Amino acid sequence: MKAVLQTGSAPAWAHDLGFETWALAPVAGRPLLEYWLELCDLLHITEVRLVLSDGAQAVEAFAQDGARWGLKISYSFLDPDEDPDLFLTRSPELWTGGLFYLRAPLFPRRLAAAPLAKMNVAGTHLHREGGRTACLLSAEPEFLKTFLAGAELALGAHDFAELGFAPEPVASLQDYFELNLRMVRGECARYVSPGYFFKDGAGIGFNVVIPPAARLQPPLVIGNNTRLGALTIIGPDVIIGHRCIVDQQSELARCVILDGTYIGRNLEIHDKIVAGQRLIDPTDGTVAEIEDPWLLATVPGTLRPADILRAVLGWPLALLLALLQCIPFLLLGGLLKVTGAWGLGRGAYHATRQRRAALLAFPTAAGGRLPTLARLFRAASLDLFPALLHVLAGRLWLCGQEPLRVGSDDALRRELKEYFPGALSYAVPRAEVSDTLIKRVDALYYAHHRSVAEDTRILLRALFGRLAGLFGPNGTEPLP
Amino acid sequence: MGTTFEIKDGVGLVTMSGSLTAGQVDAFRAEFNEWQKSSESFRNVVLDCQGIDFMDSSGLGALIALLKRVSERGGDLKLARLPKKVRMVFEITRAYKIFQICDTVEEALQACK
Repeated sequence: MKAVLQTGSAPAWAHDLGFETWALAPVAGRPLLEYWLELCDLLHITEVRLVLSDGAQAVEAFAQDGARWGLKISYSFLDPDEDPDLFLTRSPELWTGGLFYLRAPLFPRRLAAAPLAKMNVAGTHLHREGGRTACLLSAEPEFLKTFLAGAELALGAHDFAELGFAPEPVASLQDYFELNLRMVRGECARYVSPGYFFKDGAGIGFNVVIPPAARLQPPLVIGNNTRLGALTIIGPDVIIGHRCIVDQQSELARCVILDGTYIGRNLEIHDKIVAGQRLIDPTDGTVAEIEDPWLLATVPGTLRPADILRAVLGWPLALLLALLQCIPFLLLGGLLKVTGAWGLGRGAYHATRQRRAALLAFPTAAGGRLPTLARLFRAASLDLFPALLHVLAGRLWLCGQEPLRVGSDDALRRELKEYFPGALSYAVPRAEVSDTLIKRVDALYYAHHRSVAEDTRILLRALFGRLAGLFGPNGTEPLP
Repeated sequence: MGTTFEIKDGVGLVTMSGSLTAGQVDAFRAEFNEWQKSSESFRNVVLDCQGIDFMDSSGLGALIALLKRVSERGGDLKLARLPKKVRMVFEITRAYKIFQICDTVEEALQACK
C-alpha cells in the first residue's frame, strides 16, 4: 500500500498564521503533516508520496527522505490551481495495489485515550468533506480502479472510526485554535510514543529556560529553545512553540504562540493566537499586525555556521571598503552637492531584525541620464557608503537581498519568509527599478541559493559590474 | 494621521484617524496641548477612535500621557468606538484597565456629564 498526501496550498486560516501550506501549521508544537506521517507508519505504509505546490521547499526541508519516521518519502508537484485528484489520474496503475489518500487539510484525531497500535488494513475507509472524498484508505483494487476512473463512490466503504481515528476538518482559525486547546488539555498523550510522559499535563521541550520566579499552570506545552522571563504566568491551556521568548511579568492563558515569537514585557494574552508579530483573534479571524518590537516581534532564526563565517569575513571587508570610500565619498559627494548634480534620494529601508536603515539611492532608470560626476560616483560605488556603515552596525549583511523600501515594499517584506538585506545585492550593478516583480524574483532566488560562494559572486559582480558599466547608457548594467 | 477637535455638550471631542505610532505621537500631543490651552471651557475629553487603523506602544503611551494631563485638570478621558485591531492591542497591554472604553460617542459624552 502507498500513501499520497496532498500538502496543497494554504487555506485562508493557514495563510493568516503565516504558512504557505497547511501541512506545516503546528498542532501542539508539531506540524500537522507529522501526524499523518506517523499514521502512515501505524498503517504499515512505507512508501509515501508528498504532492507539493506552495511552500514546497519548506515541506521538503521538514520531511526530507522520511527516514525519521521509517518511511520512504518521494515528492511530486502539482499546480496549486489544479484539482488535487488529477495527480492520481496521471498514473492510476501506481495506486491500485492499495492507497491511503489525503486530499484536504484534515487532522487525524485518535479516538482512544491510549496511543494507537500498529494495524493491518482490509477493505475501504472513506471520509468526505463537501461532497468529495477528503481522505481514503483502501486495499481493494476494484474499488480503487473505479475511484481512480473519477467516480465518487461511497458504497461499501467503512468509517475511519473503526480504525481508531477520525479525520477532522481544520477549516478555520477557530477550528485550528480549538484543536490545539483540545490537544493541550489532554489529547496530546494519545500521540506520544511509548516511553514519553504527559500525565502531569506539561510537555516541556529541550533547552527551555524557566526562572524560579515564573509560574507554570498546566496543562501546557512549551517547545524547544524557549525562554521565559521572571514573574511570567504561563497557563492553563497554553501552547508555546519553539524558539519563543516570553518577557518578564507577562501572563498567557488559553492561547497558542507559534514558533519564533517574542512576547513583550507585562502583556496579557488570553484566547488568542500569536504568530510572530501577528495577533489573531480566532473567534472572528481578526488579524492585527503589530509592528512594534516592544509588544510582539519575530525572533530571528538561530545563527548557522555559514552565517558566522559571513559575519567574520563580512565585517572586516565592510570596514575596509568603508575606509577606502570614506574620503572619496566626502570629496566627490561634496562636489556633487556644490554643482547641484547630487541626484540621490534618501529613504528608509527594512533592515535586519525589524530595524530600519537610511540608505541612498539613485533615481530609477526612467529618471534620465546621470551627469558625468554622478556616473563616476556610481562607478566607484560611493552611494553604498551609508550601506557599508549599516553593515558595520549589524543592520545589513555585506551581501544579500536588495533592501526593501519602507512603505512601497511593505507587502513584499511581509511575503518574504527569509529576508537577508545586504549592502551588495544582485540589484547593485544595474539601474534602480521600482518593479516589485524583479525584486521578488531576486529575493527568492537569493534565499534559495544563499551560500558563501554566492555571496562572493555578488560581491565581485557588484563592485566590478559598476566599473564595467561606467560607459553604459546610464552607468549601469542593463536589466536582465 | 488626521485629528479634529471640537467641543460638544461641554465635553472636548477628539476624532482621530489613521495610525497612531511613534512617528505621529509628538504632533498629536502638541496639537492636543495647544487646543486644550486655547479652550478653558471643558475638562472632560472623549476620544473617538473609530478611524484609527493601527496603534503601537508609542501611541498607547501618548494616550496615557493624555489621560494624565486631563486628570491633572480635574477631568476625565473616555475612549469611544475602538476598532477591533486597536481593541486587541488594549487587551494584550492591559490598557483596558486604565481607560474607560465606551461603545459609542454618545455613551461616552453621557458618561462625562
